[in-house]
Amino acid sequence: MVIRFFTSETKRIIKFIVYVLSVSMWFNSNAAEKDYYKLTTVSFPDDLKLEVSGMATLPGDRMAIAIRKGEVWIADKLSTDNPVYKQFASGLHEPLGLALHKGDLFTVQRSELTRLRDTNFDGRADEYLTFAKGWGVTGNYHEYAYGPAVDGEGNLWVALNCSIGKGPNPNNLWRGWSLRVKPDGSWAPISGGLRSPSGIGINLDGDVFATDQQGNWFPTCPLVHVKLGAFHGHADALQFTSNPEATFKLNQPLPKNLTVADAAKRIPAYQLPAVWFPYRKMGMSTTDILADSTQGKFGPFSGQMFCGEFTMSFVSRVFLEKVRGEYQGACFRFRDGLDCAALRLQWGLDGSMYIGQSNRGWNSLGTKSYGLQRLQWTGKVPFEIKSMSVTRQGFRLSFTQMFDFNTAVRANSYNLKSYTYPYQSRYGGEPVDMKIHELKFVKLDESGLFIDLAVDELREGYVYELHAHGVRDHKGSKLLHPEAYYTLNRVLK
Amino acid sequence: MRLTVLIAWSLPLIAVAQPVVPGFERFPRDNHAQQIAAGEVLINELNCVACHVSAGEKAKRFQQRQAPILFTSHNPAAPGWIRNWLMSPHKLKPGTLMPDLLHGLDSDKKSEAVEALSHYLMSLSPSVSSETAMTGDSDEGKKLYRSIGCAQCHAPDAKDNGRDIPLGELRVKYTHANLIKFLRDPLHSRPAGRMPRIPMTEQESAHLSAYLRAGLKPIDLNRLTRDSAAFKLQRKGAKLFNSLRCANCHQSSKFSVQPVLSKPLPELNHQRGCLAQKPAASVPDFQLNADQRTAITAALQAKPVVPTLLSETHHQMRLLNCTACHDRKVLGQPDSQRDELFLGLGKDLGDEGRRPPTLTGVGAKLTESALHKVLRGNGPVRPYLATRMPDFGEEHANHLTQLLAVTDVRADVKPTPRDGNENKVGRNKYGRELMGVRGLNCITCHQLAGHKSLGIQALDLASAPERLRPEWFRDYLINPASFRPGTRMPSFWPEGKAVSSILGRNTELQIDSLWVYLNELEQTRLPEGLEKKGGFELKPINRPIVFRTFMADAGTHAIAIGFPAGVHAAFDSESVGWTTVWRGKFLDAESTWDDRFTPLAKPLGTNIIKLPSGPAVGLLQDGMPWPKGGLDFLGYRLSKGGTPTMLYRHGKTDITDTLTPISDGLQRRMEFIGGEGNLWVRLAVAREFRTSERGEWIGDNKLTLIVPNARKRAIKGSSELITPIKLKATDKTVLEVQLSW
Repeated sequence: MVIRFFTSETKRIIKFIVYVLSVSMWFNSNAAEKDYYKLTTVSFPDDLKLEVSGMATLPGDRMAIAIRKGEVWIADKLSTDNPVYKQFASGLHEPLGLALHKGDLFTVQRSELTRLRDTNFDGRADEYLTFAKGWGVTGNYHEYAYGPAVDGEGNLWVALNCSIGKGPNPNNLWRGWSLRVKPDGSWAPISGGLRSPSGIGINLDGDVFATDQQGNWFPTCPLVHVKLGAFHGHADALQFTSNPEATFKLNQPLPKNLTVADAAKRIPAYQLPAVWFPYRKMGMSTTDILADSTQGKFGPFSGQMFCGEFTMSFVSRVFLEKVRGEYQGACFRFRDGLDCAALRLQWGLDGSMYIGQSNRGWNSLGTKSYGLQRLQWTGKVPFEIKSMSVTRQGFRLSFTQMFDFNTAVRANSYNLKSYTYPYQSRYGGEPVDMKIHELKFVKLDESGLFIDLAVDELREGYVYELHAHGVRDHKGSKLLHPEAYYTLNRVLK
Repeated sequence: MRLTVLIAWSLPLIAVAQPVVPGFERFPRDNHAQQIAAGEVLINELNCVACHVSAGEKAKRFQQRQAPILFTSHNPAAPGWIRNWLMSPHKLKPGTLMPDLLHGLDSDKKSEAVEALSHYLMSLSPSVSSETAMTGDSDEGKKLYRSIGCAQCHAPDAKDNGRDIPLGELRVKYTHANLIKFLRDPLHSRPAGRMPRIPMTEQESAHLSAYLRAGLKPIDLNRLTRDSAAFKLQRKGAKLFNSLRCANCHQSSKFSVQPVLSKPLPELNHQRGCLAQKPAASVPDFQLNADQRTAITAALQAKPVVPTLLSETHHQMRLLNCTACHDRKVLGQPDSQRDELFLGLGKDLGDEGRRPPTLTGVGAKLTESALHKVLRGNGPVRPYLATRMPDFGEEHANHLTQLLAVTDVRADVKPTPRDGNENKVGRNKYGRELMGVRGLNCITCHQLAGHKSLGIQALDLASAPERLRPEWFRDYLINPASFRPGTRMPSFWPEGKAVSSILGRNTELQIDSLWVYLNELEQTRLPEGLEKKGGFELKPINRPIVFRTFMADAGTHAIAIGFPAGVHAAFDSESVGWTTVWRGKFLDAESTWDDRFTPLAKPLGTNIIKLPSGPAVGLLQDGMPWPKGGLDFLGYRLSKGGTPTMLYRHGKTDITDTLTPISDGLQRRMEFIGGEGNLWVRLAVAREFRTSERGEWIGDNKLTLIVPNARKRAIKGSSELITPIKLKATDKTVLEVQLSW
């Protein structure tokens, strides 16, 4: 009897342990990411609807935060458990960006770029100065205006949504274009063909980039290089190409039934995005851009870019290189599991990343509708594909940790396929002309950080999707994210 | 070169005579199997089995296709039409399925036969309605025709082209009143369901009728003679009607004629009879073209095989032209040239908000009762689609429901097992939590039981329980894109793993609780976020509120200012000037803060006075209207107490403009620095101003102003109150004005 009792008790204990383990497995579904990048939620008062739409780091442990209902708050003691919030400005019209420049905060409202000044230093803006205005505002809900991003020459960059749901409208001038505002406040359009460029940012070389949203003319979300005279693809912007200030002309009607690869050849001003984010795999609506200027404080990705993802509430990573003068590169998943849509990214002074969130108007994964989270590097280096770059024969992969040579050289450690997308007025678009590729090992370097792989065919205008599922590090661990998506616009010549 | 183009253009118009069957025209015939399938569709649609009975396995494939009923009050015959029709059906309606039965007669005999048949047929018909009917607007009709679905089967420009189902000479056939009746219920006279009933109001059918009958020859209402010769003709017509075997296809309540059969289908000679290149005088002439004859022959020669469920389902769907509007894997998809005709009525819903849904796997998605309901054109759940799901009639609804439910069944998929305890454990509580803003926030995009969602207005989820199979609901939620490629619906359970921690992060329980919640929606609370929100009123209490928004009158660059004293004003920073003043409540911020579609904000209060729109300051020329531009807005500055001063510039003159509340209105102070000469300020516009003894200006819009040096200026039937400003190069000029209302 006694023995039997113990046996069933033991069974129950084992069952319980199994249960606890399985439950903790659930909660640790991002355990691996968590080990390297710790996510914490920043607290704020209940009555403050912190729908973050812009962030600017201030000296001291402070951050200026714009929120969508039109206010700017200064959070003091930001890195502590109890930041203190003070209102700096109010009554703005949906500001969707914030930058510290010349000692003042600059923000883009729906109808203008505004300089907020606190002339009596009481911690509250007393001058709301119109720095630049004059782009079309028709009252259409979709006419969001983003920015500013500030470049090294003191220019302020603004990105304008196209109007949606209305036909050509005489009052929506430069909708779907990027603008450069010079230090004296004069401005001019730079590139056109944007749809809903909810992120505009600058890399460490001072070049300007914007993200855009999957939809008409964008089969999936892109990262585009905002360059003088570039046409990014959305046809609504073409209505302004006959204006004298337009930086490109496009008089012919857009050809139909093209892939984006064809479009790059057939439409003179069309510039392929530097990176396509394949739909769902790399997100469904890409937002802010933040170049890693932390010089290693945020981990091994110095100089690369991070992008916010709205619908799926994560942060992705982008590696860019210049090939024959144009940017292209690869994107990777980075950190999942945010509370809400990542709308804005900003560095804290200590090199942690602050992720401003709001999902008003569109749903997102996660459990909250708005808020602020902080992402800190734990100091441990994850085993990741650090970069994927094109070579004459194929691709070079670099890793953050030394790989296991045996698994790295084996062709069946990798799957590679390529595809392109339709260029069309229809909403979105599935990958087309997909091809599975053969990979061959070419060479590696003895540090175990680089490997060159040859590919049977390199197709310009195609995304190369790599799964390095079989590669192990020298301790036998898998890659934290084995997938990389390289947008091959140009091959080396 | 040009001539070639011209000929190429007109070719389709010339070669229009073959019968048009979308289930044939719009499907590939690249291999033998496809040829057979296409031929089977033709055999069905041309109603071959009405004369040639089939047997064995093939018999299952071919139902009779009923021809229009002779006649009903919805399709009465008019003598003018019927004569023309019988003389040459292919000429009057190129592409018709009606064969020419009199093609073998010489013209005299033909005229006699037509006369006799006309007399007989007219005796079967109720009289053509010349009653008055609701008038319609042809432009509205055109919009409806192109968007609600007509133009997916018929030609998009409503001009018969030999490829799309012909409309025929509608004005010759129908009066306005008859066409309205017909459109509202085509199944009444055409029971085959190939012309399904698109749900529409009487007004809409009147619009359509106005459009479709426009520009055509009017109906010939002349009656036939009614003397003894006429009766003779009628009897002769009845005989002809029998000998031509009209009743094999057409039914009527007025006669009962047994069909007269020809050779059974398997015994036909494929070179002769109706299939001959030039059919003999004694057989019907369908005007089949070579492709059609090839396909029919292929189908007739094919070895009889047991049709699979899938092929039977797809055969049926081809007959009903389902893929004109829907796509379905293996079967087909809508014509890409007509894609622009699918219009979305909602905002920002992408292609899902304008294209009819996919039919891939629809039998595994919808319950049988929902399938049946949909096929009867009832209970549409996507109000944002302009295209309407029509009613194909009871027989097709039953048949296709059965076929789809069995064909699409996912054999290895089981519903989530139920232990009967779902209500006891309070799952709908979790379902509510998951639906709401602190859960998965479904209600941001989806409407729920008629309540507007918080963002885009996607499908109302309340319809789910009565439409969807629970196992489909579950699997769809886990991977939406696998069911609807391209959908913007995210997965909240990627690869089956729950992202929300509610209910122990258990995917099965979470989805089940959503299902239970939707099933019990009527007895439960709305999710958090949908329960009445409110609370967006802006109330200036200690300081003025400065608030930028889109606003009526003040425009898209509006700055509204609310003072705690209860007087408020709006400024247009685009044209630069005050546009509105009012009293009482200030403004509701909901349209700015919470409504994705940003409707214009309006003053909440009372005593709303409009001020002149356009720039506040300008140069004046005699007799010329007030200038439209000239001012640059520079921003505003807040005083210690929060009162804004508007900053703007005219040429070299910097201008400040401040409103402050006074006992019965507002004090306006303007300062001008720099520049030289004179500027003018326009303070108010009314139909008329009078002056009081105290020197006030009183407008007929109830606005009273005290202004130094003011004068009236009459312009275009109204009166402007203006005042000059003498600029000083080194000092400032000040203008102070009092406004009360």
